[in-house]
Amino acid sequence: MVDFLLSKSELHRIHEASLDILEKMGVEVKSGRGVKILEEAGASVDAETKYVKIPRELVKEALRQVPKVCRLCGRDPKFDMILDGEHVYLGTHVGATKVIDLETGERRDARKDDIVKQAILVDALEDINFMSTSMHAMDKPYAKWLHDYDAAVNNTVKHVRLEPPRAEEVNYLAKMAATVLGGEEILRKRPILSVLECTVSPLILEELQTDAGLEAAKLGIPIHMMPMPIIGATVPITLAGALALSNAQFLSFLTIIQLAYPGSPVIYAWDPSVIDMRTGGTGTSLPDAIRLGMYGIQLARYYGVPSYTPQPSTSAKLPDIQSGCEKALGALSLFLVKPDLFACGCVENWLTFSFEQLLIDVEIFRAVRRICSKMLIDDDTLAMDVILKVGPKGHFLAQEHTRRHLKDYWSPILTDVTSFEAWKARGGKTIVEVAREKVKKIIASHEPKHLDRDIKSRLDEIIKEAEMKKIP
Amino acid sequence: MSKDITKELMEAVLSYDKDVLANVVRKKLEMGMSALDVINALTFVLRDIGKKFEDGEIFLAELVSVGEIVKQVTSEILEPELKRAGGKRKTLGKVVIGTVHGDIHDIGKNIVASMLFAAGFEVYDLGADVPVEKFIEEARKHNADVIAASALLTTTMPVQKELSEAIRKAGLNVKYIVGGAPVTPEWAKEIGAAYAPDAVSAVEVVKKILGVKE
Repeated sequence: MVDFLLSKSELHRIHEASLDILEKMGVEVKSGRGVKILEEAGASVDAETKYVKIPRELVKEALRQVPKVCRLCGRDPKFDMILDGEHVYLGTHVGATKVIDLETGERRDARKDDIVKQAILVDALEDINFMSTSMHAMDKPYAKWLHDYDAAVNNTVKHVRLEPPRAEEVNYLAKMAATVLGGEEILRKRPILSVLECTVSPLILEELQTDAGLEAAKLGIPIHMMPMPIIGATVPITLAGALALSNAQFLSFLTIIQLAYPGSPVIYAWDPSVIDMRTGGTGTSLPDAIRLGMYGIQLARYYGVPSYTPQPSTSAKLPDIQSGCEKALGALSLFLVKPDLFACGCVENWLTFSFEQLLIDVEIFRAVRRICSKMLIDDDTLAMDVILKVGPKGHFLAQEHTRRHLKDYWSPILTDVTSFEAWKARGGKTIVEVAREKVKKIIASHEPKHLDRDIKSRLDEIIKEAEMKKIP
Repeated sequence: MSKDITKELMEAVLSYDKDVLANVVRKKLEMGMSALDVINALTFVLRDIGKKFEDGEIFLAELVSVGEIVKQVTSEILEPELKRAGGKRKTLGKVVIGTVHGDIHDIGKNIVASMLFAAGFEVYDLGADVPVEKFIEEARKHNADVIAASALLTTTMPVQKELSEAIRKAGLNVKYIVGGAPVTPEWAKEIGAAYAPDAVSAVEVVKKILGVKE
């Protein structure tokens, strides 16, 4: 049995340590608005260090305020996700600036048309439940995030998540989402858009991201709050300390948001990595990064807050054996602690998007979901009737029982289990090549439900307005 | 250089304890060794440490720890002593380093600064969220050979370009190097900067652009 996870009392001890950090040391809040909100609620600003010391009662109150269930909606309600700790959804991660070109195999700056392709793929794959704009429209000089969203929302009916860097982008994105839905109030009820904002380790709430979070909360847009601790460098090398410190960052951000807008939906996200003490590189799927991610999700569940992991993740530069191993380990390990949301598709930690890897990740995730599913035992699954019927020397292929259960049968989409000769006859392709062909086929054939023309033109107007203002 | 001195300093450095190193250094000065000679011996030791890191004999955390204590002992004991004696320290070059304005991610920059220091450069670390003007001002003040600018966010990368333009406008005779996770060789080329993909290669690149030969 799994006996290496944290117990409730251990989680409580970490929680108390985080509260101690916030109460005794405090956090550096770079946002003036953030400082004011905390100060007015009773936090004290150290005269010398300017760190904001947050009394534990404020944090506990924020934990009482934050919703325990959160709904992330799709443009089509069929794809709404209920984050209640009972469901597990797969999406894509944010943050890449590069893509591995589907045609040339070269790693290059991402463009808006890559995001369009990603959206079509996400829309087509039934195992993917939501879309983060994994890439960034680096070919657009201005209003990049708006272009990102435009590419996504016009090509998938599933929920879209972005990582806007400032309040201004959040505001524009909300305007776009409200346009799609037909009003700001509908967006509040049906958040088809959510945003991810990071904290900086150790103990810094950055100005722009904090203000972006506040803007999102004001508009009722769910916020994924993500510490990105580097074990051994920006948090202690021991995981207990790393956990307590990163958690303190999340709690401080959460407290600001809940004080300003009580009841704002928040998702607790964890993106830890380990510094490689030999090269200075960072690994998001080295064992301790995976462990910290698991414990982090356990903490989220301890608080009853919806959670997100960017696993399956890899530091490999392209889809290869390393990416396969790391992703499988990350996906399986994290599945044990059941976050609400997973993400796939990136290589090089979060820096590069790979279409082929996305499909391979889907295969891995489907397998993990299957491995971690409970076996049902009843008269039908025990199959005594059919066992007795077939008897020794027979087979089960032609049995009605087998045919009836084909609907629960797990079939691979990429994994090759045929003979060497059969594989060779099909061209002797690696899984990456097979994935590439499949991806191309899906992108060429899938027809997403585009936005109505007048809505699309209104989005174009919003983008044009932002471009005139030369926002990044 | 006396083998005994470097051996003693190496032992002290590898204690990772500032007081231990300070005691050894003070003892050397009391025994009549010049501050300049001690600094030279320490530089020699540091390079050896750098080599140990490259060879995988010591870890990054140990390398950075060594850098920190040597830096402290140099600035607290050796440099004042050197100044008193009217001597001048010879380094591989002066580097002004920082994370650009709007960006507070500085762990990568810190590692680069440590490695440059360990390699024998004089490093002025301006911290994070450093305005363009500050880079220029400090480079001028210290007569820097190199300005190194880090950016982790796509939103702050343009500041590396602003800095490049500011360097040109100020007419500073410095080399410019950029780094950070989203930074690419193409971007560096576009803004007229040298580029290093990680901390280890940053040292090599800085040596190369300054024409340092060992």
